[in-house]
Amino acid sequence: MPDRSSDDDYTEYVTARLHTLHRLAFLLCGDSHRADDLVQQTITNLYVHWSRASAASNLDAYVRTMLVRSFIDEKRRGWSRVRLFAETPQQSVDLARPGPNVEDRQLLRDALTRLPRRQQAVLVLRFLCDMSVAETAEALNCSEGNIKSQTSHGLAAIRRVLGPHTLALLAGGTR
Amino acid sequence: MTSAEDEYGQLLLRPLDTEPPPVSTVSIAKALADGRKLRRLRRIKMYCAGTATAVALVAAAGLVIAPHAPGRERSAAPGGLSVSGDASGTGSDAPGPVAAVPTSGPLPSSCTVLPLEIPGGYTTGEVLGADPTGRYAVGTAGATDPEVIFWDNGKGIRATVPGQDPELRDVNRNGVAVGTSRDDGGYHAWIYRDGRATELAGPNNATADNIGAGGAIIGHVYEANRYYPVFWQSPQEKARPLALPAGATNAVVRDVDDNGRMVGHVETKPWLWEPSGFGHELPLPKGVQSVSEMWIRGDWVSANDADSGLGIRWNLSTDEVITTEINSTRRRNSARPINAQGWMVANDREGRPFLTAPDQSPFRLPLLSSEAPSTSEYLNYAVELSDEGRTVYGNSYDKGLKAKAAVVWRCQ
Repeated sequence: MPDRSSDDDYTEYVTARLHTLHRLAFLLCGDSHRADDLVQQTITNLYVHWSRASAASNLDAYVRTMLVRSFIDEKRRGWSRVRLFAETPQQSVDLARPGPNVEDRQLLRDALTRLPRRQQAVLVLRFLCDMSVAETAEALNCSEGNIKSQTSHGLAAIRRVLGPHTLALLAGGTR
Repeated sequence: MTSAEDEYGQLLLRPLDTEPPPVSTVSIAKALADGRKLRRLRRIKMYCAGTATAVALVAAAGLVIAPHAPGRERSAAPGGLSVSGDASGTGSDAPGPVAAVPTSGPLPSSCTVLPLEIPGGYTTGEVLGADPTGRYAVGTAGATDPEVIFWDNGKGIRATVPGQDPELRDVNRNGVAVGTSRDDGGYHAWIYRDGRATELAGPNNATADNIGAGGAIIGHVYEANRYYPVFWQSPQEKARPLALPAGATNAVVRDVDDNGRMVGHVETKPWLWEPSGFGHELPLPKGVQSVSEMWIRGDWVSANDADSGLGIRWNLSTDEVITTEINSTRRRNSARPINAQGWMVANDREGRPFLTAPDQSPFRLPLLSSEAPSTSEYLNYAVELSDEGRTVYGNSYDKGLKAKAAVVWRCQ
């Protein structure tokens, strides 16, 4: 029998945080449909562990960690979530939607996705979510030294992939 | 303090810092529903681990596996059958939650086996499916070029299904049946209602194997080198493949319930599909590697341990997993249909069908011929057990005909 008051608390919390979670998922994944899946998986897991999660001292950090770890280890997805239909679902790539800096975004996204997922997460959390080294270390359950080295390696790898485009990006655009 | 590297990183990744499109498919309601299911499964897994430990300890001690839970009668089955009426409590101190079995009425104390009326002068027949109310049944009559038979309250009529080798395999409580025939182009899937067969829409070369009261139908599509399970959400729609895990090459759907939930196996694992066609694995008791046969009624699912003949029942509402030591030397065809009360018909070591319910002594069904052939489990078996448990459709060996006959067991 579901606990109605607990369910209400959960629903209220998730409703308020949905946009934030989706933004983080979008920054990690690079397209909104995959981000939707990641958020759906995270809030489902959150419900399963709600009694423990809701007792956490920093619930937002707890949930953010759940989402990031799900992103890093996609193998955690249950078989029941794997879709297999006769027709291949339409691919959805939001990176190509029109607007300024589309080319920059595409270049960067390509470079970022070549990194190990853990390094991707470190860069996204640190430079797009403005999280400190300590906060990132907590989210990824590793030492601050590890985060620092992952940051350096990740940036260096992106620089290598972008090559001459790096300077243009740093200057504010490629055009 | 911001380091030069921080500034560099922020500057470099700035183009990615854009607002995402609005959330499109995330559903809190779905998270609640899926989360509840996952919570149940987590409890089942925890529980299975505990039960398996207890079973292993008992087996290691050389004991017959049977329940010890307080207030539960240990029972010896007829004919030396060793049955744990409810092995969920393999010990009174068995760890893990043991959910209460839903209240069900007592098993019958007497049953009569009656040959079903076969129209058209045929002497032999076979029941292939029946509905859970005990009113309708479908099957065939005649040994060569069998005819399709539809029984309504025991009265059989010949049904016409176009094509070669026609058969109706299942019927729901509304008297709507499904079946298959073939021609040179492959299989054709049919729905049969009000005395008329209509071909179901969908991919070519499909079979229709089972139907629920809500109209959900399951079957398989055959291609050159493979087959895969499909479902029709309603008879008006096209068949769609059931969702399978990546890489799965061997999947079979076995049964569909009135609410549209479906069961089967993917590779060797038991699988439960929701009416949407998405599914998940059901947890196996420890030590069980694979299942054969699968049935679903309401919140109950039954299966057969393909290796040992152990009967397995999942109660989807209480998260309980009940193992029944059927003690069959036959590995196939031992656990049979289940009803909405969790009662199951199984075949014992002599291949004789018996009725078993959680917490109750098993009850053996009478046969048309008391002498059971060595292959009894393929000649004497149940096909459907009604939800109130008083009607069982199936087949029984007729010594005079030297063949199995379509029968109904009427019980009190």
